Amino acid sequence: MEISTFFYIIFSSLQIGLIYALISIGFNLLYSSTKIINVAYGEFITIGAFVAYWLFVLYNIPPPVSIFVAIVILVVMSIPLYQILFRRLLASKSVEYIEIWGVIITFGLSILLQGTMALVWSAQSKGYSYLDNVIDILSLTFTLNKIVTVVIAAVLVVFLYYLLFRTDVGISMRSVIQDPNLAETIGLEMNRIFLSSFILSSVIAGIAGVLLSMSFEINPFMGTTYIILAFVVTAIGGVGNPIGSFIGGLFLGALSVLIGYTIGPGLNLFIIYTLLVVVLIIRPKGLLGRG
Amino acid sequence: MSILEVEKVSKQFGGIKALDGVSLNLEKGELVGLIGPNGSGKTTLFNIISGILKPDEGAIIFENARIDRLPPNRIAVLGISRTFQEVRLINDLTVIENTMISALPHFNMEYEKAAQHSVEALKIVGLEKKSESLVSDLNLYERKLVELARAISARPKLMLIDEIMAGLTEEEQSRIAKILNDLRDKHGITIFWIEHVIRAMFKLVGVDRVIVLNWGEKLAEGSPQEILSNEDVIEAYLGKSSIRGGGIAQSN
Repeated sequence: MEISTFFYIIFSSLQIGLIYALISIGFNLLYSSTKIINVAYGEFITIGAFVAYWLFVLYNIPPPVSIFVAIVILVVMSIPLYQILFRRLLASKSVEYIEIWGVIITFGLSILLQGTMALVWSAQSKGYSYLDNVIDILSLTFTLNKIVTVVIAAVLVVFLYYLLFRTDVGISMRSVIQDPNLAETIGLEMNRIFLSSFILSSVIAGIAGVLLSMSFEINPFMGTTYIILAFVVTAIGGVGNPIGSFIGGLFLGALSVLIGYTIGPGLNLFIIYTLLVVVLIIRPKGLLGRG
Repeated sequence: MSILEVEKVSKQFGGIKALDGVSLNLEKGELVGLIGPNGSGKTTLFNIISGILKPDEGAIIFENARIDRLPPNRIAVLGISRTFQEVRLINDLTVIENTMISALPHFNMEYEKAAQHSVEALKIVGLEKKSESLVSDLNLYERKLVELARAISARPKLMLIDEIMAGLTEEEQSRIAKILNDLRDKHGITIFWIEHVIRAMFKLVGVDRVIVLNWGEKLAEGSPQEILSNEDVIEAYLGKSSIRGGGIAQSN
């Protein structure tokens, strides 16, 4: 293997892996703190991707700037969604009830969002060219948008680490994830923490969507692929473990790139689904396991 | 002036009456012991006071306001903190973070202020040097101290302490006894304390009063001396083991 190919694989793995890591951290965070399996999580990614696409195509706004618009849109969307769909559900405090109804509610939301986006923007795949001319440095070739993606995703991962491990929001979220009854008994306001988790999770999805749109084609149904990815990474990395999600995401990203390079990208999803099945057979407690 | 009034509180689980019309008062600044055989309803009473369980009948009045219908987090913010029979900590968090989580709601979720306040709580229990350790690396005694610090850090007016002495060496028990005495004497915190290690309650800590529960009812109440010489208590609680112990001693 040439050194430039090797470098290309490493760099692409990092790019895809960091995006997968972000997607999985957001999904895992919401599930582990609220027990809601957000099936519509993938659609929040799609929304982020379309925000970046339209802002670029219509107004020539570069995607890194669109991230801020995507954040605002997802926050504004998340608050009423939470109040209408989840607030009362979460007050029930029964894990089984929240899991079952959470899936049903968000599955409906997912269909609704996919259908609406397909109706408004058509089901056709779309893409745009942003900083995708090939650059050659020291005989290593890559495109600039990949570097921008890696930098933004890395900054976001560091920010999330800081948020989860060094702030009041993070400490309260991690307390709720580990022992919700204790957290409530010592005075934490659960509703506020649930809402923060939902907003944070949606925003992470939206940003991941913007990053994806910089290198890949997008369409209203793309979310389904990524929700499966989030399932697989959560199964690998462990529920309630953001660092596990980070490592699992990087691993799956690298795996996808390697499959694409050696066997061909067509088998990518097949292998990922197989991995999910295998993980769930070996570790049946993987996804929904509690203790 | 009474800080806590428990008025005719009853609680049933299935067909079993865990608490049956229990009434009691805690005066401000008191350290009151709560004893009774297993299953006598002590922890159920704590769970009702801290809002984890709702009473079937009766009322809990804290500083002249009813709290028995409030959720646990509101009760905590009003100034009632507690420790648990089985130490409950967040294992992924450090000592200072575990201590902080109860302080956050009292400081409008401001990280720095809550952290500073929690250092004070850790100093009271003597664990400030371990503040950056993960709680999963600590031994039982230190884990109990973290729980105690978390309860202190919540700025409590009333602390509910559930069996803190079990599993500790005598030296560790004496150190915790000193902390409990200090909390009452220097920090003016009212303490309600469940304990099975009777020796610790009657010899190490200067409890002001002792309340005895048996089968969900209040059996006796009084000074430690009165309780130790109360015949009902000896029969229902201390009795079994002392009679059996005496019997064995005699037969030997």
